[in-house]
Amino acid sequence: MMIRWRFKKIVCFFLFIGLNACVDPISLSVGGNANLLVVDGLITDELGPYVIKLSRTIPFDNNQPLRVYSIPEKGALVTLTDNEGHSQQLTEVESGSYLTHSITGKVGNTYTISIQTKDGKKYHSAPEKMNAVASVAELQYEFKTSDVLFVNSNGSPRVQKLEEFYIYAVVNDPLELGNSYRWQSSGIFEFFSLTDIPEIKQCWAPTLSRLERNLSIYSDRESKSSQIRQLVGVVNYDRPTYYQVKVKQQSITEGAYEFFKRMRQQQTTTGSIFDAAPTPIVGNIVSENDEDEVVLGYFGASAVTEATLLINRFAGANYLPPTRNIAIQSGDCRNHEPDATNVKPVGFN
Amino acid sequence: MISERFFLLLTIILGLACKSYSQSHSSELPLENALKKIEQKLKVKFFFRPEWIQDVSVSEQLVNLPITAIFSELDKKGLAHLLIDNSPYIILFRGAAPFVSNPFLPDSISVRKALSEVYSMRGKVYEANSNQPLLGATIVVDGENKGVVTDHEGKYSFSLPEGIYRLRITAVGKLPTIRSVTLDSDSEIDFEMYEHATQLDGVTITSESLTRNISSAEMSQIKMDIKTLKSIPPFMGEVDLVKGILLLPGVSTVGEGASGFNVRGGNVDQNLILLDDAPLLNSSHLFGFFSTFNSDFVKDLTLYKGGMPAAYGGRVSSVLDVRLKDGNDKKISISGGLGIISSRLMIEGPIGSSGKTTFVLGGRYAYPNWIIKKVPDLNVQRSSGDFYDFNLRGKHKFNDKNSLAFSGYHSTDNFKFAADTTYAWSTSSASLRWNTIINSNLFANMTGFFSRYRNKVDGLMAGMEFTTDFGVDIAGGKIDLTYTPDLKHKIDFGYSMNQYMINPGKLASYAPQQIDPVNIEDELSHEQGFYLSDDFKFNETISMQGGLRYSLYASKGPADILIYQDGVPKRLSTVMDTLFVSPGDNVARYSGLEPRVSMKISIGKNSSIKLSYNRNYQYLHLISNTAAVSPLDLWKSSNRYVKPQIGDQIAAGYFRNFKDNNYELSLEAYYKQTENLLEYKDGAELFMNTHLETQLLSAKGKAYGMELMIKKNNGKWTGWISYAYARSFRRVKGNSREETLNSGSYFPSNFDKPNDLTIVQSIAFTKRLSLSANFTYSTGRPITYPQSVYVIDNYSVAQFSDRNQGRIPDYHRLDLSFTINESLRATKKWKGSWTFSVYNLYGRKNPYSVFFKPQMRGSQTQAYRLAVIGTVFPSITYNFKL
Repeated sequence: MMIRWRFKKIVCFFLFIGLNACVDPISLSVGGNANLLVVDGLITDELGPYVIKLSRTIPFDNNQPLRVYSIPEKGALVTLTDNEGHSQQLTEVESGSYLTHSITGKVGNTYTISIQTKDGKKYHSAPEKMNAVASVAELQYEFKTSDVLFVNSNGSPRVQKLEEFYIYAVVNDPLELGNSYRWQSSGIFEFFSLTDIPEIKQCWAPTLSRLERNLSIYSDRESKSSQIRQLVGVVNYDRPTYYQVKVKQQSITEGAYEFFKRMRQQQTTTGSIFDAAPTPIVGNIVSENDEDEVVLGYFGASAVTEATLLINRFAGANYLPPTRNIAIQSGDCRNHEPDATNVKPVGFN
Repeated sequence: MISERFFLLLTIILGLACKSYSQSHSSELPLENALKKIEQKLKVKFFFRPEWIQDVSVSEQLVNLPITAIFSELDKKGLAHLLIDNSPYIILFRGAAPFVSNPFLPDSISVRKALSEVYSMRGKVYEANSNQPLLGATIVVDGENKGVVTDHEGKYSFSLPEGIYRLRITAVGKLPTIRSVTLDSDSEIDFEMYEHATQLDGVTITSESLTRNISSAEMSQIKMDIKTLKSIPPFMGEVDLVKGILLLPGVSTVGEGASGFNVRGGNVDQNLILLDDAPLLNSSHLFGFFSTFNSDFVKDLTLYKGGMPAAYGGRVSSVLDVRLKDGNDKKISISGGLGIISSRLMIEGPIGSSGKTTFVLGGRYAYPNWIIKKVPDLNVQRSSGDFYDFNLRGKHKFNDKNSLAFSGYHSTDNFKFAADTTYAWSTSSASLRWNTIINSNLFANMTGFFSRYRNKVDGLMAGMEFTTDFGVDIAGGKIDLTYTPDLKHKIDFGYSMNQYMINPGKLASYAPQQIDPVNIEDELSHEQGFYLSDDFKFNETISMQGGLRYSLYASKGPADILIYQDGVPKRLSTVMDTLFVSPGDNVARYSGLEPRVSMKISIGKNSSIKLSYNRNYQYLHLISNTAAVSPLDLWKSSNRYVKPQIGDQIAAGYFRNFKDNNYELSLEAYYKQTENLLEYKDGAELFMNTHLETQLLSAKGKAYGMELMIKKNNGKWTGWISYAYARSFRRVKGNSREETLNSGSYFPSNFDKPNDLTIVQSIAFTKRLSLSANFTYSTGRPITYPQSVYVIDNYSVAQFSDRNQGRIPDYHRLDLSFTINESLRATKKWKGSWTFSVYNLYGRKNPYSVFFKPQMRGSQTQAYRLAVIGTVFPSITYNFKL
């Protein structure tokens, strides 16, 4: 699949033969059958509560790019049941977010949600089985540098060096087929202030965006290899400090894998003529009243295992400082980054 | 010249006194019979036009009279006579003898003999300067209203009763030639034709005869010669065959950089592309920016958009028959061209002094790297690429009846992208053709051919090395015979056999930890075809071409066939069993009858109406679920799950010539239906898939349209204007939602571009300067737009529903080119010319696609427009010949 993707890129290079930007953002608004119900929820074996989000689609409109892309679906009755006969109604805590209470997911159980919206329409998910998850054998990193060429506003090209740590999860996949995985990564970085006061000189703050560049998923049907080495995130080398990566590995079902794979396909399109036509992303929610009604999203169940990796970025980068270093500021380091703390998080030394 | 041998004598030389004779009323006989008897008795030969002596009867006694008395009797019947010097030939005329004012009578009429033997006449038409056989020259027999067209060997043949005939030979771009011949035995006569005096005068649009478009039963076909191609403004300086046919009505493409072309709403794989009889599976260099044909070698091409002759089979939409030059048999000549990214060189000439053996050899090389290095993108700058191709063609004439021609071709493209992946694909073909004349009514061609297509991707990234390859080999042979029993029939029949050997994909991994090796088993299959067709002329008004082709196909083992559960979508999870087919056993067999019929009805002298119906079977399919096919797409032969495509087309047309055939008008309408087209499930994965059938869907295709074309063939100003209204739809209606697209209703295909306008014009200001321009406009192609957007886990997701319900903006473009010839003096050895061209003159950023991509790590979706050539693109080429 990687091969195919590279091929798409090569086409873009012919586009460049025209010595002109080939891709321009355009304004486009497409009316359509908006207001479709979207379900986004996951039950895990971590401690609850778990959240099920209900929303409605809005028409695609690039003329208002900053528009909120989701309209919460309020006032619905959401019921979670499992194969052991337990059933509970979820509570809406904020607009469109419905929370479970006093329940912890169990590996081997099968979960279903049913929804009744305010207008009386009924929906339900397919039963979703919580599979056991293999543990992460190891997290690894590789320091990679690459050059990217930018064109300045005056038209002159400028080379910029990218310095990044690629994070890989190594997993020993169980022998039997049918295991699918999803990884979600986050990180905490260490940073310093110019102050002399020790208490506020060293701080830690979370990276606000997810570390994975795209959906990081894998199915053991893709490869016969028993060992998986999956790219689960990319960390910038912008400070010569420690960085802690936290990776959550989920055991998603094959249905969920197909769903996320379609989503990933859409996210990685290059729009070249060698792309397949975009397709609907079919989830596991159906309407009980009208079988032709399109319902979007996925209700999933997954066991979760967690792993962390502490990276000495300076050592990883062969003791060379970052080319694009974020300047060290003075004063209380807790004020330099959002959610910064001077309490050393678990895992840092 | 034969005509000069003839002299006229106003003859009363046999001037014995006229003697009256008594007329017997006892019995009369038709004059024709009487003349026959007189001929035998007096050893003379009478020539006349049959209509002059129709319904004339004479007394039996006439036969016994002396010749002068016969003349005076004929005079009474209104028949004048004329004796030809030094010969026993006597020509009879109805009414006043025209010879008084025209002493070179035989030049102006054709006359035949009474009740005579039919003799065959055959030969070749040559281009006088290059001594190349001339395809598409028309030989019309005056008065007989018979005509034949030379084939690609320049050959013609017909049969006529003994007589003196005036032949009118025409070919586009050549001076019309008139010759008189006396046919009194089976004869072989060659003709030479000369260029129009003004060399730059003729932008020839077709090598058909001037009236062929209205007089033959064939329709939906276009011939184009290299002169026309060369007059079209070139892109990056390369005269391109596929770019040329894209300017014809009914031929379209998904966009710039897409491989291949679409004919009348058909897929790219539905075009049978023949290079000197060898089928080619890839027609693109540089991902579709250039075609694989080196235009220097091309003699001419014929595109059949419908009404395919029964001799062709195996593809549903069209046949593109490309013929290469035979080579100059008089002298060695070298020609070539230098362009900004590619150059060409060609040498041709005779081997030995007899002129019986000729060759053409040459090649092309492209060097786009210097442009690639200028691209402001490091990945692009680290990329490199090139392509080359070469052709060799040789011909040997053993004697007047036998000749052998060889044609060989190879092309390779190599691209390395960003120092870590290389792409290569190559096309090769070879054909050997033996022409033989068995007797005066029967010709035969025997051809053996081989064609190979390969593509290969190598991953070079450290720790991720892999190599994939894919390929198709076609080997085959055919025998084609033409039998012309008389003037009214031309019967073609023959047999062909193709063997397809497909390697559907192998992936070897040098890093098995990262990438699994894949080896999909090879596919072997055979296709055979038998055909018979008759070109039948009922009368002046109605003629017909009726043919039937029978094709048989078998896919052979060894193969492991997965058997799926009935009634549910094919998936790996619904596999029930595996069927092992041993080597040589059949995996699947298909066969079918393919009728091909067309008919012409003339309306007056200058126009005609034509109708046609044809059915085609196609057993080879291209697997591609992208909007445009690429050279790296795979081919597959029919098997248990992939049924042959069956296409039916009906067409009707009106054809008219104006102003001495200087203007041609054609208006055609067609309706096409195709069964068993391949479509793909949503999100299908086709690359290295060992169970491809789980990704495929069977579609029904429907296309209809109307094509209007007005051409001006001669003069300083030439060109054409064409407009097509064409629709193309698909329908996929399966048993389940997974196997159904767009709720089972018809949806526009990727290349449904309803309005298509093309204007191609060329003006020769002087013999040395000419200007050409072309303008094209077409409706934007369909794409799938998102209906709405939503959020899943902080990723913004676009919701797409039905396929191809939106359209990208319309496409239009203007190109110009300007050619200056250095010198036209025939004595000058070195002949050079400069061509300056500008592609996309007003720099329109024609959108290739509109697509939707998340920004900000997926949290927002933005629409983008992608233009392939979003700028004015000038180029310059220098061509030379010595």
